Amino acid sequence: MRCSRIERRFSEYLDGMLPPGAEAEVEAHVGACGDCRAALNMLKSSLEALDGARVARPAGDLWTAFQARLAASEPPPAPVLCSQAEELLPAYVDAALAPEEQSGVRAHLQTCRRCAASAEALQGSLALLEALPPAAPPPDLWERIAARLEPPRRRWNLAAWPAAGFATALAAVLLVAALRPPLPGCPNSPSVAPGHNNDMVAVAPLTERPPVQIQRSQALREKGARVAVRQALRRPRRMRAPRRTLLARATPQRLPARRGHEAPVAAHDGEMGTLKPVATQPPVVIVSRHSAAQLKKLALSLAPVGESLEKAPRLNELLPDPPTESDAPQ
Amino acid sequence: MRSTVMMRAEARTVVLAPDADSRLLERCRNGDTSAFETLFRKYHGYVYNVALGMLGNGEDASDVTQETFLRIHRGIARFRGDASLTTWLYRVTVNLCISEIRRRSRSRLQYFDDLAPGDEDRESSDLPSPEEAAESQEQRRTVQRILAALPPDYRAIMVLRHFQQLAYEEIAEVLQISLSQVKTRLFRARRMFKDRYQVFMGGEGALLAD
Repeated sequence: MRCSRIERRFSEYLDGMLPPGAEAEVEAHVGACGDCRAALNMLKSSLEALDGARVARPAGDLWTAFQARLAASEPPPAPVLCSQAEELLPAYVDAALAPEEQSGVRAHLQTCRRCAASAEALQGSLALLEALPPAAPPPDLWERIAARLEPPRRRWNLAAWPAAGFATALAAVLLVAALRPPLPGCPNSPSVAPGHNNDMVAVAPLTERPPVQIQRSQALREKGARVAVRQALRRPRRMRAPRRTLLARATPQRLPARRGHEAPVAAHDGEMGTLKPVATQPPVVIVSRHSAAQLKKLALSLAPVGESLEKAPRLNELLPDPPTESDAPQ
Repeated sequence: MRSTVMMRAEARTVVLAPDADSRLLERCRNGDTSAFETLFRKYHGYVYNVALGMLGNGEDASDVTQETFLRIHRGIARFRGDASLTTWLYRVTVNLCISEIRRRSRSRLQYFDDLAPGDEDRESSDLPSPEEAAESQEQRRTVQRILAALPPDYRAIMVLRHFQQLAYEEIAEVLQISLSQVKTRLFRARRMFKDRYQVFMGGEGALLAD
């Protein structure tokens, strides 16, 4: 083999990256060719000298210098009022705000005790919820649910939805059809399953997945929940883009009333296999294109759904149409 | 592609735990300044050494290190973890260094004069004699001068391979090139380094100015 071809292999040879056959070829050639042997030795010693170049430690405290530079590079955050902070808090705790809003709220929380306490309470409730141990559903739960489900009358085609308006609206979460009482124009709302286990909520995912387990509900304050719904409706663009489409129907089961409310609301992320009752309000169906984390955050904040629906007619457009004769199973 | 980048510093190997980084990143996203400080202190040495290897002086390396972490700070909310954090750090650093080299259009000879001798970790009995230290220091400077005379792309791959000891696959990920391109570029960079080293050791240092 020619010396130039052998020399091309020196780099990988020294790194042990050549296949055994090629490595043997190099060694045989180098054993017989004095020029190549000298070239290989020279390459070795030059690289050893390079490896010997000692790494250095940065002089001084770079962190302090970096902090000063960071402060100089960030524009001063716009002042945030308490009312604004209250609206932004749910997204703030999930770091889903634009950077300038995030820093604005952060600055506000450093000066306002009341809002700081609200933020702490919100974070605490989320942490509490996430710390709850999972509950196993009864083994025959899905069979009992499946027996009560009607076949879907119509498959929703997300791709056919007008992109701009709906994608943005959906990306912000949008949801919902109240089960009790049924929404106007939506007689197809799923029914409430009879109680079996007070901690369970049944789910009928459109993807025919097996039922998922859920955890005991954690009541949230109604005020914070309203805020999140309003924010989702008003500011869909501020939410991060969803990573994938999530689509699911949740068929909640009534749970025992707590804290003076009627029943919890359930949210299902459709992909991640977790389902959590999220607030003590009438059960709902949730349709979302959010990531599991975004859905969780917003679902946790859902509360007076029926009232919000009336104020947000766009939500009704997301609900399945009432059954027509042509849709009826033949 | 997701991979765990192994960073090696000096004689020890540090395997970074992706889970620990994920938790750190999550805290950073929530505006936890102390988490970002932890992240900074954990990685700024690696970033600094890559920058130092590519730029040739400590002041520029400190500057690039800070700029790298500024960009990380700005982009951390959008970081989705498709690559590892260390890959992202190396990539930002290398890109900044290459931009800096091209922007300043300085002489290709870059001296590493402000590098510390680097003997802090040695036992006193291991300390070299003054003659050995002088010789070692001279060889280090020679190597660094040769390295700084390489084209920026070659400097980057040599620093990642020989200073940070990244695997070929990791280099490909950082530089966003294919594995075969890594092999070819490394071969050419090493050949150029070897040729210049050979000439320099032969007393013809003037060739470095080519």
